Amino acid sequence: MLDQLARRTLGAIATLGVVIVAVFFATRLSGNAADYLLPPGIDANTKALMVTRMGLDQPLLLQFWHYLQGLFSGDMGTSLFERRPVLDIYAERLPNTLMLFAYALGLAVVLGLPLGLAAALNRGNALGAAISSIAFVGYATPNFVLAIIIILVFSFNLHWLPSSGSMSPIHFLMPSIVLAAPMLAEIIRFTRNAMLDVLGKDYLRTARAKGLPEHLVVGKHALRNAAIPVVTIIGLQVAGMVARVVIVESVFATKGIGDLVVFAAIGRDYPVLQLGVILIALIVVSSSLIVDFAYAALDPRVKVAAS
Amino acid sequence: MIKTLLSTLALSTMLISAASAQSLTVGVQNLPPWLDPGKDFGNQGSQIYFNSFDPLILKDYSQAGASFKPGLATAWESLSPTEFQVTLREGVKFQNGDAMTADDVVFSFERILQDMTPEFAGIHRQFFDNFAKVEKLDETTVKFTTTKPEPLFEILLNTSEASIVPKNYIAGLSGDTAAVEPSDFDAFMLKPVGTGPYAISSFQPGENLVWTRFDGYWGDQAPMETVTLRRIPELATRVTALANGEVDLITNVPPDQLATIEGNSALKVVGNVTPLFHIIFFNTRNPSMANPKLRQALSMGIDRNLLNEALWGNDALVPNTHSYAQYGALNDTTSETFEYNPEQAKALLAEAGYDGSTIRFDTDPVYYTNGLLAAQAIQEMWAEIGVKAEINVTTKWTGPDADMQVRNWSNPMYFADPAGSFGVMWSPKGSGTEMAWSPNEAYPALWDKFRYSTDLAVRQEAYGEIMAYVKQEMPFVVLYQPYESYGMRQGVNWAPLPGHIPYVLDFRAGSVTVE
Repeated sequence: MLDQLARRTLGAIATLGVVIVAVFFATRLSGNAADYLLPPGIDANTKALMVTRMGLDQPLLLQFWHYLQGLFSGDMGTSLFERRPVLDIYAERLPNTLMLFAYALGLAVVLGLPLGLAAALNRGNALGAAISSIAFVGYATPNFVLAIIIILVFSFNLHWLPSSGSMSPIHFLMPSIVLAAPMLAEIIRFTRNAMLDVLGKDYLRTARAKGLPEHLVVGKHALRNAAIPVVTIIGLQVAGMVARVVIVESVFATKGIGDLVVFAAIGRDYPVLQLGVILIALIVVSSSLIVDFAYAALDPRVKVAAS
Repeated sequence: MIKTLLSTLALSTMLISAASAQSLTVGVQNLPPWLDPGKDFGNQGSQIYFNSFDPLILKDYSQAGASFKPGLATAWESLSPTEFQVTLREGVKFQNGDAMTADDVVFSFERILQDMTPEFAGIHRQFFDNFAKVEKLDETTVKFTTTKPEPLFEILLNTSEASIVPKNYIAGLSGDTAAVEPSDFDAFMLKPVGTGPYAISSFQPGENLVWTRFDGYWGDQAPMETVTLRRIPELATRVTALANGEVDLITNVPPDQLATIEGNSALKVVGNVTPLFHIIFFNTRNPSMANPKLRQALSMGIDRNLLNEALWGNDALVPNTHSYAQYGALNDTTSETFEYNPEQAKALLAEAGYDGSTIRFDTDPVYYTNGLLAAQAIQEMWAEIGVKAEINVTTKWTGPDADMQVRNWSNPMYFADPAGSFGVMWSPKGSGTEMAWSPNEAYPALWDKFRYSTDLAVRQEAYGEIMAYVKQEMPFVVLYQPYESYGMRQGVNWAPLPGHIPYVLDFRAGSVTVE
């Protein structure tokens, strides 16, 4: 078992290594920062001076060497636009994005598991159908549509919630809901299906037959087995959340890294983009690693196989 | 539970009410990644500089024409066509407490004239190419020397690029605190200091900016204690933030949103025609676009009044030539460079031997308000005269590309003279000329006659000749001056002033009151 987890960890580290190399070359293949540092139509001479000033005229491999050196000494470079350390920029913004992730993940899990369970236990009746319909709508609605709808309802019409910004916890409510919606829908769906799958299994009949009360049958035997696919889907949804946060932060003017990375990609601000992609890869890779560890904790067969 | 929820909501409503008589919160579409008036002629930065920086010469911004008045200089005179002497105002303080000196004035220009960073080199070339030397004569007198006669001396000294910045403060920002190094300018971009009525007390690049009244200002005190700019890039969110009372004023309201704001009795819309042209330009060096008759035909195929009616509700302004009302006596009201004539367009196409091949029209999806819609409308108009065009939507700046054929662009007025708009783009060294146009050998002399003559009548006549040449060559077509709208709550009395360059958010004394 430990062996397997060690392999997974090594795999995760290798993935990050590939990302660190690939992001350097991919960002530079897509366009020249000098085209964006100055207003459209600036004269060629000024642009050439700018390229030199930013060190973009150095051989690509030399730039790559400086990038690696910086990486290992904890210097992620200086933003081409803002002319300040990239780490400072992320230090201002990363907490907001992580806060959004935490709220959204919490919301999706805390609501999704009981709703999915309820949908499974009420299969065939109105409550079960209602929960499944809500999950379907949540899954099918594009996040920018949902974002605009709730802004119009809660800010524009009802004046209950602030539309934008990241000044206080209440400002994070609507973006968290939008970020959580598809994940919530997925968790409901998978919990319901996994529970239905497990509830028909022989070992549950055995558990009931030996006289266990129903709440223990469901709570201990069924839920634990059903949790395995649900954990998988949560892991996958973290990657989806990273993609969605870009739009959510832009619509709600949240001062996070999603919006920053998009701006850096459009302007080819290589150092900002590099760290952004590395951080995103770190989030995705570590969430899938956590899923692997969670499997081991949930599924006794994984342990037996390893020992 | 419900009680808690309601009280939270009530609290949040209190938190988000932005208004008070001494403060103003503005939701802007964009904010620049850095600030330095001497380096910047972009649309984002021009929102900011006027509140925090002063040039030597100010003007009455409530009218379009030029009426200069003392700024950080109290007097100026021309000693000869190439020599100018400026008397500095005494007792002026920078927002950090430093007194403004003649050394600061010399430094503010030297950083540009000596190309201390690439951006300064760009401003040097585009604005101050003719400036040779700036020197301090005594503590309150500075002398400027130009290479050729300089008819635009006052106009150029009035630009935000000519704002005065504190030398010692900048030198002290990094490295050797006594010497001026490039890294000092990088640091200054995040902590800019000027002499204007509002100090920039907080600046988070691309996110928000807070102005605080500068009590030591030499002129009329700023009307607001604080002004906060918040970047809200998404239009629906920006409009909602206004309707919800989170901000008092919003920028960049496109025509199709005006009804939403005007329909709310607590809000209003104010706007003006901006001194900026939306244009399309041709790559005359691409063999497919090399025939001037083809370009003339394409120009004559565009019904600009219809574009104005359909896209701008007739609020935009369709000019006859590349000229603005702000030029005063130099506003060219007689040239008819661009006109709609589909019949003549068809005849010209036949003369040009247009073979029906497809012309690629490049446009950014969002950069110019209505830019994509205008491109699509022009595509249809060209189809009417028998020209096939395809729209290429791209965020890439294709201006200098060899295979570029047609694309949209803007020609802002950087300062109130044809040299400050047409000249920056289409003079012999202009950026449009550099990218896409090869004028004839006589053109530089014609341009110089216009640019450096100190005789107004000669300049007027020469500009007419230049416009006649443009009509013949047709390297670009001016579409219109867009109408720029701002949404605000009823209690805010603010409007963009016609004497400014585009996008300036002027919150100085006399320009804004809040009830």
